[in-house]
Amino acid sequence: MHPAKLKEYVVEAIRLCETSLPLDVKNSLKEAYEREEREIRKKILGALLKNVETAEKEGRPICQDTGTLTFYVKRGGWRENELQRIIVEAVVEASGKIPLRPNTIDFPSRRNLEDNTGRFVPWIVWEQGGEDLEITVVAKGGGSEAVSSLKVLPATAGRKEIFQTVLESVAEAGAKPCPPIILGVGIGPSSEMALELAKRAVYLRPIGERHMNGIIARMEEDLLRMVNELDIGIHGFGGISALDVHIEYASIHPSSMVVGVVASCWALRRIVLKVSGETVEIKNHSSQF
Amino acid sequence: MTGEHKLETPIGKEEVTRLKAGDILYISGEVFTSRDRTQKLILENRNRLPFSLHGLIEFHAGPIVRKKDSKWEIVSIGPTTSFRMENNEYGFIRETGIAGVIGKGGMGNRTVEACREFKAFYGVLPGGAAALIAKSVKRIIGVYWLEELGVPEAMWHLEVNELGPITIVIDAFGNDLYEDLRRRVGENLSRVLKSMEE
Repeated sequence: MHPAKLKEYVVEAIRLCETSLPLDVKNSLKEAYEREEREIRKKILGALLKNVETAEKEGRPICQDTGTLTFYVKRGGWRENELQRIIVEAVVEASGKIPLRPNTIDFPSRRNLEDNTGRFVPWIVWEQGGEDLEITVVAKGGGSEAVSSLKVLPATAGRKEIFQTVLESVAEAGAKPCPPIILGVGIGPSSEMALELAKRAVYLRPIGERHMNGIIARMEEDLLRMVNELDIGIHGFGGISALDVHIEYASIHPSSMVVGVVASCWALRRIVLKVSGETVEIKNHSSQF
Repeated sequence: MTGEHKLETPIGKEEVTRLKAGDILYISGEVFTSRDRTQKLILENRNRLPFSLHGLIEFHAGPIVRKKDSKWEIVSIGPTTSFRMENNEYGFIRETGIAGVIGKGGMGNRTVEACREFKAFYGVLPGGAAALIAKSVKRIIGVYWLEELGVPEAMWHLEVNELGPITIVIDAFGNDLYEDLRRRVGENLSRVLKSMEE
């Protein structure tokens, strides 16, 4: 595929990422709406669903906070620096075209850089494997980022201490991350790995899918139940607090286990663009090319 | 039983006192966006603004805008996390005489005090419902400090039609739904943690 053509597809992927929801997220919200009986909560969930419908129909960003963009990339046969250039150019173009909110501020000068690119932004994660080019676009807003947390536990810590760490973090976050949230927990030997895994757990695995390790899958189910027992609920008005909990882990260090907690707001924005030769495919999404 | 209100700005104190925590509200008339660095600039320059803030609504928001035929239009607009403004909100409500504040996520004790003392309210819009909320914006009346603060933080003076649903979280009597939430979640957390010991 010609690089200019690929850039157009990446712009389109960013547009779909910001103006529509993945099917798993939308279905999960619809289910929550169907089950809810209380007036305020049903009204809010109804407004959220109506919002998604309006955004998809009119091509408006779902949330005014179009977030910071992260790209998870399996290169296929492409060169890293070429893909990097294409992605950055696509972000610039998408910022004006969709449009996106100018969300990138130069840190030392505090100047708004206007086109959503800057030092290390957008963040690109180069993935292993895959014969085809696969680009996953994730947009994460400031409200849910404000409640991320990290705690270093001793390596001997059990299920109870891990759960306590997660539950305290969720309780502290309360209504701030726009619940119902999708919660990610990362467990690993170091801080950056724990947070990276937590973010991947939230964004790269569809809602409803359990971890392939049985022990971890069981932990996810138990944590989901407990998080919902906190009864933070829809925007803090009770009812369902989390649509799902995903845990991702790496082997830990003999002395420490780091637990990272990352949440997405209800508007989890992710899209997967797969390019095989000239064929382009979008996965798990209500809007197709 | 949840009450539902439709009010037009400027909103009087007597109308504010009819709003109870847990009620639903729709607002028509004038609101203005204000957050982070905006509040300070508004306070310093409020006498130079070409309109009065009295009885209007402060909206914690940072919109997406686009220029069409050399005029700005709102593409998406929704509430931002209000708690960041907690330090300045008491003074802001006192000095401006606004009828209420809308945002998301809740405020702290000083804002509860301000609402009681100066008869104001704090309400939340559905977070992230920015495409829907944009539809209730009829027009942009004006924009201030756009160059200085950039699009998200500039003060956007808007005319809205039935902006909502807004859930009243803090009313003029000192009720705070999110204080109830913190208590409830705290109790639930202790119970859940205890259940793991058994």
